[in-house]
Amino acid sequence: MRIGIGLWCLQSTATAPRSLLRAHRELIDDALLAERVGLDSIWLSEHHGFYDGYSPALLPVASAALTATDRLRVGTGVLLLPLQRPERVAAGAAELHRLSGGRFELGMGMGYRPVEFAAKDLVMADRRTRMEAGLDALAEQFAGEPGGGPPLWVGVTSTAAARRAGRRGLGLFISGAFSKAVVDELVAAHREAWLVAGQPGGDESPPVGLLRNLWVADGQAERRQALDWVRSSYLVYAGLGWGAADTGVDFASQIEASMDEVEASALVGGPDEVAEQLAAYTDVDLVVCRIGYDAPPRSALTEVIERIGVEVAPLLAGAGR
Amino acid sequence: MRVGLVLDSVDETDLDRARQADQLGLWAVAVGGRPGTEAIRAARVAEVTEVVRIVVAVDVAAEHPFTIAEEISVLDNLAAGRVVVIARGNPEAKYRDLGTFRGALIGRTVNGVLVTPPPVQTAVPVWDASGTRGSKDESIVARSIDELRRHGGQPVPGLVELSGDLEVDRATIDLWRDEGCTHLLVEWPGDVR
Repeated sequence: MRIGIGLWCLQSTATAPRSLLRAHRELIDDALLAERVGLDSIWLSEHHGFYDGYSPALLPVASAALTATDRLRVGTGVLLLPLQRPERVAAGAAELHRLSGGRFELGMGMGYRPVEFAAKDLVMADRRTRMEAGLDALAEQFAGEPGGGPPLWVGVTSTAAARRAGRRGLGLFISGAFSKAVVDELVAAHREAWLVAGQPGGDESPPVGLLRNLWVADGQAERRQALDWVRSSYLVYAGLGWGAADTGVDFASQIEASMDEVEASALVGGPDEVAEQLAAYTDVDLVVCRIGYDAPPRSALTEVIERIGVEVAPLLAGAGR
Repeated sequence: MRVGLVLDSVDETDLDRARQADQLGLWAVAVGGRPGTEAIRAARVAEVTEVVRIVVAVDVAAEHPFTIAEEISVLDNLAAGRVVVIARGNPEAKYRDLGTFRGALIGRTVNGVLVTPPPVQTAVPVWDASGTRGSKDESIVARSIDELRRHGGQPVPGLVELSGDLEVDRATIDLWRDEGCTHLLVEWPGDVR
């Protein structure tokens, strides 16, 4: 099981204001630290026009992080493909793949904020059509690239979307907010659709990546503090209006119940405890530990990066698929 | 007149040239690329340099102006406020809207949209490579002395390919300086030092 960290969004929120310039510098520092403690990857997230500066352009950020490091992988979790022209995304992703020696991973999602589409003279109702056309265009362009393209992931919030990813033989990237029961449903739908489609991409089923809200904490007070950080981190997504039908998580319409659901699925505890719970995800190839919250002080963030790399990841070397 | 170096690529050899330019006090390092790769390449140069300006030639006709502005603004944050844009691309294309692009990079709400994050700089300089301009305040990148004379805005950037013959190149650079060029980007095949 590969262990990465995420999601770096480069924000300056109302509850934790900071210099946006410093946020970009700290991303590089965090990538270097993650590499030094042996972690697999760092993952970035995208939104547009949000008050806090939430990063709208992930490929230049990935480029800086890949340039600063030698071994660490950098991924987008996720880039909003329907908001962009796929041929430009393909050119950029292929360039990153080439320049980094294959260390870039391209995760893509459809987006869910109407205002982000309207700003670019697009209509959100077209997002699925644009997503499918974009994935077709990427496949075509990567097929013609010397050295191919980067690994591709699709972020999903429904079994229907998981099936679409499976039919294409693309990796599945699952939200950190969902319970293990929902995760298992998505993985099963993805796998089944891949089999029915005739196993596109080869004999091995496409990979599964899983975001998990996670914190390494000692003692009850630290655990409670970490869970409060997890809850507060979703205030941003409540503001963005994120949610998914039939998953128990919908910050647009049921914020408190969604917070409770997120807290219930968070993995908070000592290294052995966290590793044991992660090991239960036997169908997963990659876990992205969601620790990039705005609330924890910087010292706590760097400490948990180090603890995940040194104390948790080695316990999971043989776990997962 | 300040002089910058044009890079053909951002592979390791050219990254070393960028580092040298940074250390030797050149004004800028300039990069381009096919549409969608420009800011990626510039971010790579920004990461290995500290003080040199990063000039990025972008096809502003290839995407919605807000998307390009977002990329440049993020790049300016990665580069700690060192970015200058050369706007290239088909002047007749649907997306080529330098007014919207410039407005977004100043941090102005344009058509009801505010691009975030804002750039580090008060306003990212945008120099037009199309050879035409909408107003006398816009800077056009000149590719010849004739063009330089026609477009006497401020600043007056230029782009020239040097030969590698030091005597000839010295005369070329002197001519551009004497004609009023303020920022000259040179394509130079040799060692940066």
